[in-house]
Amino acid sequence: MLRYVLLRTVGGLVTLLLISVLVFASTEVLPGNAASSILGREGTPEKVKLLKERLGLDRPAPVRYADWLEGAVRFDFGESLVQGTGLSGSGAVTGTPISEIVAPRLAKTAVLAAVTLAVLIPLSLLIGVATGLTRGSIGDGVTQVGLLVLISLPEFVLGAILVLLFGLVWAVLPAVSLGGSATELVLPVATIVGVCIAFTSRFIRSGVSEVASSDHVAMARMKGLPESRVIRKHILPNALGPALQSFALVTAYLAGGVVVVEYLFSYPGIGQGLVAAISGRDVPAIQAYTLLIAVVYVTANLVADLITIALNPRLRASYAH
Amino acid sequence: MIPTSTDSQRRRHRARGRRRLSIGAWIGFALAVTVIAVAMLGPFFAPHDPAEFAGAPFAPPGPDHPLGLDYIGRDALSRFLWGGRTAIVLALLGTLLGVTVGVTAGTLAAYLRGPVEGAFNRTTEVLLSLPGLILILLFLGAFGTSLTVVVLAIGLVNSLPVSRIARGTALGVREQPYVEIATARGERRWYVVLREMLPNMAGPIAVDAGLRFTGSVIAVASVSFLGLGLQPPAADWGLIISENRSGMVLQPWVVLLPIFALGTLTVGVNLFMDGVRRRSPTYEKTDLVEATRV
Repeated sequence: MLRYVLLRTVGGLVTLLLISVLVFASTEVLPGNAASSILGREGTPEKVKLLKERLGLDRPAPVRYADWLEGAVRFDFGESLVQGTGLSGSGAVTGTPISEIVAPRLAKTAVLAAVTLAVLIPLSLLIGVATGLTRGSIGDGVTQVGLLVLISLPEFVLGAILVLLFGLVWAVLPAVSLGGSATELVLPVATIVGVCIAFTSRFIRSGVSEVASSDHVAMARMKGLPESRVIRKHILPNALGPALQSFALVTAYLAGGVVVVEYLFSYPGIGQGLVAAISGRDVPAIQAYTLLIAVVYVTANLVADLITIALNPRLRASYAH
Repeated sequence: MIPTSTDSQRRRHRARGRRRLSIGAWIGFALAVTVIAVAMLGPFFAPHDPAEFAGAPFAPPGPDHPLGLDYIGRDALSRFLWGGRTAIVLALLGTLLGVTVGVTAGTLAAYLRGPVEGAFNRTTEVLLSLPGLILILLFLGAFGTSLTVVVLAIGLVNSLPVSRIARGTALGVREQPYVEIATARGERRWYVVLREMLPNMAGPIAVDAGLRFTGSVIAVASVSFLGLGLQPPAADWGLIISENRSGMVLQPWVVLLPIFALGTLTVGVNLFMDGVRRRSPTYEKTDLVEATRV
């Protein structure tokens, strides 16, 4: 078991390394980008060449990659090509350090993710357990259809619908979130929860219904235990496993899913940052955001995998060799 | 009589799981087809030029403009009717690209095995370690935000799951007697792949292609929504929602129809896919496919 965990973790690190190569290679494949985007309209071929030398862009790619990676591990992604650019006294080109731009956005997205999970977890447990116990009933059927609709909708469609509902029909909440006060987190969180709830509650529902029809639960009921006790002591603990799995997967989804939601609500997180970086062609920023998102995604998937193995003794045995 | 993959074998492959689809699945199918029809035929019914300025921004619905005007005074209904076509066409291109590349790569990997298969596995694994939209955004960030790049990026992202399915199916088909016999007969490799293997893989790939297509439509809409795909003054449902969202509360009609169209498309496809998966004897109750998520 432990061996598997180690193997899998190393595998994850290798994957991240390969992703970093991918990110670097694709954004640096046109090295003229960086220099010409700094100089903009004033970029004559000689000036661009000179700037490239100054920025060290004429060094061979593997050297630049190693440099970049080494910085990335320290959370130093260089300087922005777009924000705060100018020439310093000594003639060096400067821009706002990427880490300064990214760090507050990362914090904002982390808050969004945390609040989303805080709402999602109890809600999905509630729905998952309720529908799992009443599987096949009309209530369950209706809920499933509703959930299917929710999960089918693209994030920005659901978000826009919520804005219309709560901004227009009930005129209660602000349509744009600045991440300042609690009410401004409501719509983005509601959107993401809406998209994910179907996934998580279905996971839990299947785990619950499996247990609910198992022998030892039947035994407990035959012993005359009150239903609430049966739920608490026998069913819920077995719902935790699939629940944890699904929440890890949701975290993975969040890494990429926040992009559209943050953009829709103008929420200043890393998702919105990535979109701005792309439109502004801020290459170091694009690299930073993409790498960060990849780290979260790969790690969360890894955790989900490990939870799955931990829960499934059968799988564990087959990996023991 | 030298056995080749006979008609009876093909019929048997397809006949598996022939139980009837639920009514929900057919409703879903009908919804999806309707939206696509509206997207493709809409421009013929548009009352006005989608780029023509007809009045004040966010004007409410009136006699000439049943849905009012958008954020710079263009007819909302006309823009909606024009707004689906480009996305559908781009999505179609992206899906065709993805399916072609995916099937080629997956089949070759399964047929050649060895180091080719290994390299294939590694590459798809790494590429699948990023969320689809992020991979597309990375492409756009690296190569610019032209429509060509959008189609190529969507094609790439589509090719990954397709290639996995292709490889899986091909591995199964590869073991069939008709493949062995064709090879023993001395048939060239490409013949074996093309005439013996591919026709028997068509089923699952075709079903998946439908999903890929819908996902691609959403991907184009999402990317346009983010301002990185179709640019103003183009009419695209994603772009329309994005550029009018500041005035959504004032004039909801502009965004309402694109929202409704995109939502109906995705819900319809998912209903259909849910119905299709229910028929399969291996229907996993926990296996919720977010069919249209890139």
